[in-house]
Amino acid sequence: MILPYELIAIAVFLFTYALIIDERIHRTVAAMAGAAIVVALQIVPWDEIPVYLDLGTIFLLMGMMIIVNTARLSGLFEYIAIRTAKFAKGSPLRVLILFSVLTALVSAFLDNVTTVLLITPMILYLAQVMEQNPVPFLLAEIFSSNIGGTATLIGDPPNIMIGSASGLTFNEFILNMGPIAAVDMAVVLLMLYLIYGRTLRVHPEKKSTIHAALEGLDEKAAIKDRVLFNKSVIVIAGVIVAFFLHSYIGLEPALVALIGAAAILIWTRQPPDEILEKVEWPALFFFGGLFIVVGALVQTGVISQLASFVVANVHTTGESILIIAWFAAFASAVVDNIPLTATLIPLIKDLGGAMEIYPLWWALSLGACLGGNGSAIGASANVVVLGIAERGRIKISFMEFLKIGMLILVVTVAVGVGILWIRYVGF
Amino acid sequence: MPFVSGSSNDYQSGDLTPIRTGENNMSYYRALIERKFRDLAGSRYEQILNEYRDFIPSEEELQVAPVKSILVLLDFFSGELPGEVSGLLSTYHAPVTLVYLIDDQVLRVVSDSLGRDTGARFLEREEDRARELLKSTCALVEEAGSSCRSLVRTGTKGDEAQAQAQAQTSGLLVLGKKFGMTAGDNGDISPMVLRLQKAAPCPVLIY
Repeated sequence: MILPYELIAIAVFLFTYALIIDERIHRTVAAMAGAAIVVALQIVPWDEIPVYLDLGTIFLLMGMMIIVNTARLSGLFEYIAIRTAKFAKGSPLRVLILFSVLTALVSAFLDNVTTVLLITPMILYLAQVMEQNPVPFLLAEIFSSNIGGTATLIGDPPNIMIGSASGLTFNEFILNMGPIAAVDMAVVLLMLYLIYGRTLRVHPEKKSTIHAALEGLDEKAAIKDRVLFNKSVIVIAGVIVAFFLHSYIGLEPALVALIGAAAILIWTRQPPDEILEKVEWPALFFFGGLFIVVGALVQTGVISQLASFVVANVHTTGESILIIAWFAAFASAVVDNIPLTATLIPLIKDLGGAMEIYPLWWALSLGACLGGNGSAIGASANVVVLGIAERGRIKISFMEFLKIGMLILVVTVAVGVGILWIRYVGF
Repeated sequence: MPFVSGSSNDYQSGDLTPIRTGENNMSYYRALIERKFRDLAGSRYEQILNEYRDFIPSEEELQVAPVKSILVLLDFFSGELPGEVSGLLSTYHAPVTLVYLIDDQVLRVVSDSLGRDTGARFLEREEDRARELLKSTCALVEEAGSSCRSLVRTGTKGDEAQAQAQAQTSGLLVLGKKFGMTAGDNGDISPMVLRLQKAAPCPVLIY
């Protein structure tokens, strides 16, 4: 028997989900409206809001946004993109591989949306210069961004949420998800080569023109402020080192990001009002609203009942890994992986009383991050790259994306689940 | 529009075939991607594109303008054509015409003040100088890979230069910055060059 408050919490949750998927109303507004309803109806009591509002996630995102937006003013990311373009020497295959690796590496440490926003213009330019179909390069960028984000605690919002909720360290993420991401990257590049390899060639006569165009790119011109550039590199390197050490020095990942943000603002003397203006506040409010909407499900006991159902029907850790990874993967392809992760985190926490949940966090991370590759709307990076492609009159239809995306999803999740299985279940 | 949209071809996934675009019937999918893109990226993409524009040339900028012939005007003041300029001219794959202009007003002053014989000798010396300069410059231009022809003209320099530029229907006019300099001019660039630049019917390259 479902109680009225449970019913309202479920209805608000589903309605908010539907609005987020459809996005006719801004996702942030949808999440905040949902949160306002459950708080106004006292399904989530006012005093309980701090319990559900995951400040670890919000502050980590905020800190990284401040660092990235300050560093961006120096031209650091454009500099890296130009250096990579020159290193590729006009070979389409090298461009595909190098930019995929670059995207994966940057995505592992910065948010995926910023990464693809910064790299896509360069990829489109290179495709244009090489007179290549840009689609393989854009798809490679999307898949690499989602795979790269899987590797670290700060790489993808689902991982940030998982890390904050579970208390897993940065190094644990690297050790568990890093190898999966590395193997998946190699597999995806091989798949893309098999699918598009025959088109990744340039006519020998075009090579000198391409070479001249690439030589015309001046990476030094990209650096707008040399001092800021150097300081940004040092702060970002310091923050990454601090993430590796955070469990030893007793700092929360969110605190590392906030200290990094404070350090770069103090050291570079950039006007804080301008930098803070660039923080993606809608994204942060979206997370806040979402945590409250999911909190309503926890508060009313819906999640506990769901967890009891899972516990009654799932008996081993191996089964749980399979179910969570594959469910999260396919569900992430349909709904955005952020609300999905927000929903599954309390469920996994509730399972903690009945089974070993440590491997389940990796299964969730795997499914939520790699599941984003499944469809055009599965992850933020997909939407942003496809939106840019649309502006460049490059058509990637929903079905075209779905065909290759689902193939990538199945293969990469299977590889990841296989590695987790070997590690935590054994033969 | 962002520079990427300047692409001359439209592509679809799976092949290299350009496709027709511009249909009004935006599908639900496209509208959904557009809504989500707007909400996720906001105005950040436009800002990033603007930053890229500072150092990535647009497609239009990458195209070398079609130039069918090049006119290089030379005189006593313009001096030799620098090697970099002749190299640059060769990228247009267009024939180069070198015209050396001798100012008849100067000749008149010399003849009037120093006598007709001296004026004739002055003209002879000027023509020798012109032929020598044209010969070496032509060799330089041909060495860079362009075909070259040359001639010496005498007349009122400003009018003659303008007439040459119009008559040749050149795609590119090339001038040294000291071309047409007089004793009274003391700027870095001669006023005649500035006048020709304004009046020229084609792009002007000043070295």
